Amino acid sequence: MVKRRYKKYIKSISWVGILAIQITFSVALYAQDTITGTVTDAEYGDPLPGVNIYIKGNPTVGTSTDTNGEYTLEVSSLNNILVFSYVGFQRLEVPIDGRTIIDIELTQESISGGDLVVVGYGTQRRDDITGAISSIRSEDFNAGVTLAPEQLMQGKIAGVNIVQSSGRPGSSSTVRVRGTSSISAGNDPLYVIDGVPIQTASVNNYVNVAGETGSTPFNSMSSNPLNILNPSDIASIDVLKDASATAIYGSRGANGVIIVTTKNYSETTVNYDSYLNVSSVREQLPFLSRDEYVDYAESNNMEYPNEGAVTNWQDQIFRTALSQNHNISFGGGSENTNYRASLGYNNQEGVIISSGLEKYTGRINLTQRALDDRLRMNINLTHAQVNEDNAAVSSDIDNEGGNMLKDALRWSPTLPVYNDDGSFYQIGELRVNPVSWRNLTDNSERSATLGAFEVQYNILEDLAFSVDMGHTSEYASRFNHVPLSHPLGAGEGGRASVSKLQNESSLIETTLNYQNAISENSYINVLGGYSYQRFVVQSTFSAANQFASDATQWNLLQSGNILSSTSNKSSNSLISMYGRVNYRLYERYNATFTLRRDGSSRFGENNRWGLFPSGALAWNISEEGFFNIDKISNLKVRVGYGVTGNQGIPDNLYREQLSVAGSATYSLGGEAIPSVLPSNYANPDLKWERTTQINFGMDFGLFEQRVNGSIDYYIKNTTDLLLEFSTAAPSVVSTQWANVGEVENKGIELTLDADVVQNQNLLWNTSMNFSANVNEVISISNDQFSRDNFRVGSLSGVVISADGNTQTVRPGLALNTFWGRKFTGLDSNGLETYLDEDGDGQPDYVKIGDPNSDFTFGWSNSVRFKNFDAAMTIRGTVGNDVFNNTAAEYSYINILPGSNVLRAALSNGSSVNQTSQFSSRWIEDGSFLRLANLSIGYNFNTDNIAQISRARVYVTGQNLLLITGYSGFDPEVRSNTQGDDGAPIGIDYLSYPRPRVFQFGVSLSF
Amino acid sequence: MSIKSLKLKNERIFLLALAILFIAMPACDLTEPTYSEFTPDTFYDNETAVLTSLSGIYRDFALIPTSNEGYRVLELVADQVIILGKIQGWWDDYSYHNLTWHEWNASNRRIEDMWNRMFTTVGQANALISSLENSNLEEPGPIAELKAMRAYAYFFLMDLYGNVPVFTEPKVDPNNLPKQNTRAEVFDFVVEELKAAAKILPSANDVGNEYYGRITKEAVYGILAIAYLNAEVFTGTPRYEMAINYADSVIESNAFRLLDDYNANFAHDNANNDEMIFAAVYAPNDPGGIGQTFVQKVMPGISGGLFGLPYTPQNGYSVRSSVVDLYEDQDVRKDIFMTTGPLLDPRNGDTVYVERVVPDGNSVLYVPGESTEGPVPYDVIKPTELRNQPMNAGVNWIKWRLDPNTNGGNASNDIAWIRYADILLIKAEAQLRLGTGDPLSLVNRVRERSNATPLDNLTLNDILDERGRELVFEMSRRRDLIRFDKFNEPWEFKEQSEESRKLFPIPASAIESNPNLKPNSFFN
Repeated sequence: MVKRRYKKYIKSISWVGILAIQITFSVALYAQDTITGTVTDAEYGDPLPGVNIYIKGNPTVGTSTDTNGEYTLEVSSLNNILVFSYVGFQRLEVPIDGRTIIDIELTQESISGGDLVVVGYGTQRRDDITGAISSIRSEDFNAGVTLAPEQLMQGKIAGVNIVQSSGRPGSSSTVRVRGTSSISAGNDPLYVIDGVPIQTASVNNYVNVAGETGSTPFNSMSSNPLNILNPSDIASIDVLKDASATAIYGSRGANGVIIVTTKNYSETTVNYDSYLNVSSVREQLPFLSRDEYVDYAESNNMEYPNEGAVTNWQDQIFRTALSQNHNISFGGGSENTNYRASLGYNNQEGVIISSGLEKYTGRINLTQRALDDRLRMNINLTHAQVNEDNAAVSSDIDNEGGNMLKDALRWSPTLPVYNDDGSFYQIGELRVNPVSWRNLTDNSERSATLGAFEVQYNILEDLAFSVDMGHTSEYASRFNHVPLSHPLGAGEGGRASVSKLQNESSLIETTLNYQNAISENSYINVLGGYSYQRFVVQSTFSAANQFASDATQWNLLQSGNILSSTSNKSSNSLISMYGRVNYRLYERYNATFTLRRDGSSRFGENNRWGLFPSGALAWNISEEGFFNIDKISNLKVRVGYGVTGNQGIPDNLYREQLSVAGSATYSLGGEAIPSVLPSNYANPDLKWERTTQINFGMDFGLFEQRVNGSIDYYIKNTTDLLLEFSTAAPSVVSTQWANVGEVENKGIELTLDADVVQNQNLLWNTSMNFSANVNEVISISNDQFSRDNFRVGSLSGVVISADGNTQTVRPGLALNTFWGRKFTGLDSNGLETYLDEDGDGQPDYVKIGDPNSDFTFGWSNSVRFKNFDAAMTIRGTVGNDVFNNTAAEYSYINILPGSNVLRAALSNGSSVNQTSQFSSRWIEDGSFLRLANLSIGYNFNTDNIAQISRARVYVTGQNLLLITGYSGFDPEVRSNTQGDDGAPIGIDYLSYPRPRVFQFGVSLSF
Repeated sequence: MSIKSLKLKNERIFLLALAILFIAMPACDLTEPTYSEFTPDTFYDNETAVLTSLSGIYRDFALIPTSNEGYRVLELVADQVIILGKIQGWWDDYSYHNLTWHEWNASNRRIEDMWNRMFTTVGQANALISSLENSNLEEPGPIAELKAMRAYAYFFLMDLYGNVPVFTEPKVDPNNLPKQNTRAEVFDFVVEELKAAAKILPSANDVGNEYYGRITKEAVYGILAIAYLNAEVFTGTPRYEMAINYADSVIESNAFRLLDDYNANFAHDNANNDEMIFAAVYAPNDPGGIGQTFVQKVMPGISGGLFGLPYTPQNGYSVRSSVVDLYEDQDVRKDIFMTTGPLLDPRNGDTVYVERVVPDGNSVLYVPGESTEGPVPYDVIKPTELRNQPMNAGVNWIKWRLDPNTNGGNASNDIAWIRYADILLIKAEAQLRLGTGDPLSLVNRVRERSNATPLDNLTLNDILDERGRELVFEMSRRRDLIRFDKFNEPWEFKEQSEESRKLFPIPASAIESNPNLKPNSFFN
């Protein structure tokens, strides 16, 4: 089926091509006057060879410059307008005005530079933008980011909130553009890398670590899907925030769109960049020391475990970690070709023993022009190999099990690490020597290839036809081994598993783009496109136990007893047709209209297709004749409205299904019969989640643009929520998806950027952003389904609450509001008391916190003084609450001496009879201010060294300073607690701590 | 060519290209194949496919004794099984201590999980019955099996939660959510469904090993006997004569007998024995198969190969000493207890020696020549309260015996839902309550098999005690205590409790998802 589709494309492409070529040759020419001149680079004055020059309105009359940048062109009239175009430079239109010698200087354009903004399927002048789009170029990226590309922009863009889920090397981040709008369907933005939309669902979501037992000490957090990119390959990141900007991505635009563009070179360049990182935990959690522990037990006459040792278990599992990184890139450009190739290597140790990551990336970007620049072909190929060695640290463990971090916290400081014979001191399988967890293996290997091929042909000067083909493939394996020599594996003769996943997507996209001045004062840009993308995920999982030897680990599963062996495959496809019209009148009135029709195989026949329109207007007031305020160099107001969709749900939900859970069998008549059970009800009515958004914006520039900024206000309403809610019994499934409810986000975003000092020796740029978002659940009912509230945010560890949850989804409140008993103090017996307003003798369950922040802010500075440069990013949030689940579990003397406790347990007044309870007592203010990045570099004078064009050394510190009232490792955390799909916001439980990192680097260009 | 004609041509190309884009290409189809799922309309076209649907339903039940929710909800609330919180924090979970204390609430995880498990089974059975009825298969047996198992699930729901909604459609209509039935109505549904199924299901006499694990006519009679024995609790009306009738139906089938050796009922090779009427079957060495974990969960935490086990047991469930005191010393059924004092190896009666008794952790088995400490006998001591106990506190038990082929903690001893001994005791109790027949001889048949002294006369209390002895740990104690109106009495580690504790609350989450459900009160 797919093959046939492709054939159809190829056919139609060649059709258009042949037609276009016929036209080209059938045009007759006649010339009269000759014009000559030289084209040079405006910045460096170098002659530019290969610049295209043609007569406006008649592109068949044209030439290009020679190696000296010189050209000769015969024209029919000296009243014509000449067009100069050269890739990487701004296009210039020059009226001949009767001249015969015209020398031209072209100015370089950076594709993401101040003037051009990457929008969906193209670029636009910043002046013409009607929507809310933020861009960040490589020179403004956060310094010191080694692995995760999204951190390049963390704290830099208003309205984009990025929270790294933990400090584990390779851990993912939660990226939210303008708040959280969906409850059960995805909230991740769409990532478009060099034109190819990526399915971000990380492979680890599919990779089975728990097998059929459910609980596992291994983390099930997803790996970062963007990890496959090398941050140093990225030229720019553009974030489309409002609906008028994202609606061109229709069904996948509701959560914002993040467009990543990678670098290409236009002149010969060789770069080498290398650095060394030293990371360590910022602080340890204050658990009882050995003396405090023994004092408590003895003064209370308690029997306690004592082997005479003095062990700080946190010291035993934390370490100072070293990492190194090397990047080499080279490239160049000639008349018709630009290219860049790069290789990256990164080896990062985690601050917890036996964790680390190794990453290899390679990329080739190649652009070739032909047929007098009318044909442009572009190939972007990248391959990445990411190998992770994970420590057994996870947040989603049930109350009886442990993991390395949990055991390090709770193990008594009187117990030794090793026995006299050098073996690990052990208690048993439910409480494992913290250090011995390193004998468990949890390795993952992920290789990913992203390829994009684009052909663009200018059928006419103002009509371009392009075909994009993209393919992504990702192969992930995860290998787990619990040795039989370890208490955890001893009972079952060891356990090993292999999990494999293949995740592929194919994209074909054709667009037609027409842009022209339709009259003297108006300009139009029309885009029409069609795209087809298909995603296929396949996975296998095998597990075995009862091994005779640990030697083969997971490499000879057949030497054990096979417990499970499963395979799965699912697919989905999206078909879209879209169009966009940009219209500009008098250089000051801009209008954008888009329309996209999307079809998704994830929905039933009745509701497959969704229509997503948008419109936006912008008015450049400063261009008006009446506008004469000198100090204001730019003033533009924008308004936009649009509808976008969300289809972030599993495949095949609309159909009735029967399937086998895991590899479940049951013995009937002595034979193992697979258990095939209904796994889903048919829901043919399932349809798109719809987000409508209105945006009011203003861009301004002062003092000839030395200060500029923007303000945006938006209201975002999400209806027909794809909601996974509990079914009424009896049902074959405990939850079912339906379109129920409504969520609203309202917010304001401010950005301010200023070149504070601009002189020969000193450049100082500062930029600030501020965003505030108010989230509210409007409804979680419709005519079929009705709920007062949902409970979410699972409680972890041995902590008691009414129903094991900490948060609520409830109309009138923000999503994930903390809900529970309000702690009102301790009674005379040292027992907790809770608010009981209605006096019924039972504690009231009330709102006890809001994990959503009131506002977030970022402040970046970059300074260049003579040969020195420096950059700094400070960012923070205010008003968000965090549930410190770790404190809730370990702040009660009740669990002594079996488990160590936080020092605060001795002084917080709780009696020995008070059990660990979830209440507002453990909800803390998570506001913080973090010195996230500070970098100082020195640029050597290389004028006298012929071989080196640039040499820079630098020191960068990350996470240097954290000002917060929060008592845990770090308030900026999202623990992946048990029972939740993805990490709930604002819960901190046994999270891998975020390190403080010092980086020393050198960067050379040849 | 003039500019004008060029323009015209431009437009044509433009339109043509647009036409290609928007007309030709969208012809693609959005229907994706299903790769890893079956479609119910077409799946059930052969006997094997039908068997796979039964497999899942039976498996649901087999998970009850081994899972956290089922066994704990059924046994911890009664006066036999306890889980002691250990001083190093193990087993210190209020979701089951609250069961022990009769202090649970409607949000108790275990109670909610058991509700969900049973109602999921009902929902699955409903969907499967509908699919099978719509298929071309004419064999009525599998549908009768599914209906019988659905009725059995409803039996548990009625027993545990009382007034639950009876719902048999394949799918709940969200606009018309199920409404509660009275407990008596649920009772009627259960017995009528069972009676109808019994007419179709094969007799145990007519099927052999190839049918083992599946429900037979006699198994249904057994469930009916249990249901009628408890009819007064469920409906307010005693129906002991019906209990006798159905017990007799089982007995008169002559398909079953008491095994000579009580303990053979619980051995690793106990599959399909003559006393077993209906059982959960465990096959942990099958890929995807399940095992039962009693030995792993119950045995003391001694590492180094206790009783030849390949793992260190978890020291979880223990038993109140009052239970042990019910037995005469010569009663072979008493062998399953590891009473206070030195721990003895159940294989040979030898004293178990450890390097030292570690109160806050696992002890290590003493190995002559290797151990540097010990040997000391592992002394089992009496617990002083439910929480903060040393590791060696609490009487352990080993009813389901050691399995030499255990896969880790997963053993293959099958667990009976209904045994012949139970049927005899049901008949005896019903006869005693009605004052008919010869209940004493029935009870003594059960006692004599285990070398217990035959009773001279029989009181109702003797029946309760005999059931306590014979069926200890077999998931019927809660029901028995309620029927004898002793469920709310105080016993070790438990105060007198309210009458309403005889029912579990309908879970808060269930009421949330179906507002038609009202919290149950015991008296409706």
